[in-house]
Amino acid sequence: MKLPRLSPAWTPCVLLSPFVVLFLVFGLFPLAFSLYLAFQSWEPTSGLRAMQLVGFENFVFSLQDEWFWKSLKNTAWLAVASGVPQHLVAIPLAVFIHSRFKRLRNGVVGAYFMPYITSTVAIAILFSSLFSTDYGVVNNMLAKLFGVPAIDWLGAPENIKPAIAMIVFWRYVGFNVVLYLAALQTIPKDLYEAATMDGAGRLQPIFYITLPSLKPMIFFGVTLSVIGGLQLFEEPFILTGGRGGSDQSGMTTAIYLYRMAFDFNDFGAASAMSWLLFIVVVALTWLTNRAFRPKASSSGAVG
Amino acid sequence: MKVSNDRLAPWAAYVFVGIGALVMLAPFYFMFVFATQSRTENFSLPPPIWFGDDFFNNLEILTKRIPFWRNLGWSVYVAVLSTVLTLLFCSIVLPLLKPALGTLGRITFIASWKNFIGPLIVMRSPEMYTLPLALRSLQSPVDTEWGALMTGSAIATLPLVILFILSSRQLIAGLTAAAVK
Repeated sequence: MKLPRLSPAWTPCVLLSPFVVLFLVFGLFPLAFSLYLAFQSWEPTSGLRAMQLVGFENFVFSLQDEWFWKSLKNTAWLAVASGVPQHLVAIPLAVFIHSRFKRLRNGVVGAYFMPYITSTVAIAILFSSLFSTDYGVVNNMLAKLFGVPAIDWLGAPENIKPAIAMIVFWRYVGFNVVLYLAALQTIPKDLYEAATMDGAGRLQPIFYITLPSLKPMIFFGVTLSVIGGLQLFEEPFILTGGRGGSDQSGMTTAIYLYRMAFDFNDFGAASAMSWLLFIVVVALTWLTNRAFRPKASSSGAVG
Repeated sequence: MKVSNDRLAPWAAYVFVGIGALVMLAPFYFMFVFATQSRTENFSLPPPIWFGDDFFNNLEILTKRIPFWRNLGWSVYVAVLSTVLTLLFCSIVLPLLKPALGTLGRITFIASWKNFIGPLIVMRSPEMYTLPLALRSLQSPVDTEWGALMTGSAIATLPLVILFILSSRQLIAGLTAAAVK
């Protein structure tokens, strides 16, 4: 039997169909459904029939919810406290490794990068032991080296966030180092040679050649940190036993909307919150873009 | 780079970078040390800094508390299956990707091996949990078996560490490929 010949116009459609089908089922449908849910009141235990259209009630509820605002503040705090040091450390470190390490380079980069690929849950569990108040390695070292009295890292509300920020920093700093190393390799050597000939000192090339050339990568890295930081979930979830910690001080927005859906069974409010979080992520990404846009061109889009 | 003539980076900077690298690796070391120590030894002063001999005791506690081997099996199952499916899909749909399939496979394996949110949202029965979920279910406010929990965490981390040591260069290049172009 001969298959009917398709007109060539159909070829792209046939070739694209596997991706399109997967995208529709696993990408677009959940997105659309969560947007639909955001306007419904629904407890999943009572079945699909129990949905009720409530308009913007879920959004109003979320915006008036004290815990939602608290979770947003926590998330912002964590994103800044874990994100900014990542880049402040990664850039000089990458510059140093780039200029000074030859043979040991892969080993050093590997050491810094390794936390990025490991299981978040296993690592968070380990850190909850390292940060233990009486028997933890961290407090022990602090006491031995600096005579600091034992700190209640995971119990006291004011200490949970720094502990989480440290772990997030530890996980992602190596990733940023690799990004910056890749960018450093693309800077032409002649620029530095020309600078030396023109009598540049030792720091001038860094401030007038290296940093400006790194700017696009800094933009990329900061954007990734912003997006990742705002969606922070696993580390604080494990460290606070899935409840957000004492006084909800380790509760990020992602944890709160997970709890809203699966602990409090309010999928409508959870969907509304996830869309509100999405708006925050988009707004901050746009602001980052604005901050890094070249000053000279008034309309040139970056990206 | 030409800056090397200047003493921009004295030996102290090397020491600093070296200590930093050790600090990055230290948690892994402690994970494997704690995995071989009993709960009492893990909770003593000073904390253990060398390997003990309680690995198999911990494993026994672990298998009593949770269906550990099943959980491990599901983790392998999910990671291998998603890797195979991804590779199959990509080699059919994107034939030009063939040279990158090795790296893609490793990255997919790592991502699904350590995936937590996905199973957390879907899985309801402890029998079907993957390792990250099973480990989390061992955490309790009152009676956490820390030695066993560390053994489980170490077993969950070991494949990733081995994979990373075997092919760190390709992995690093692959994971940052989107940025580097």
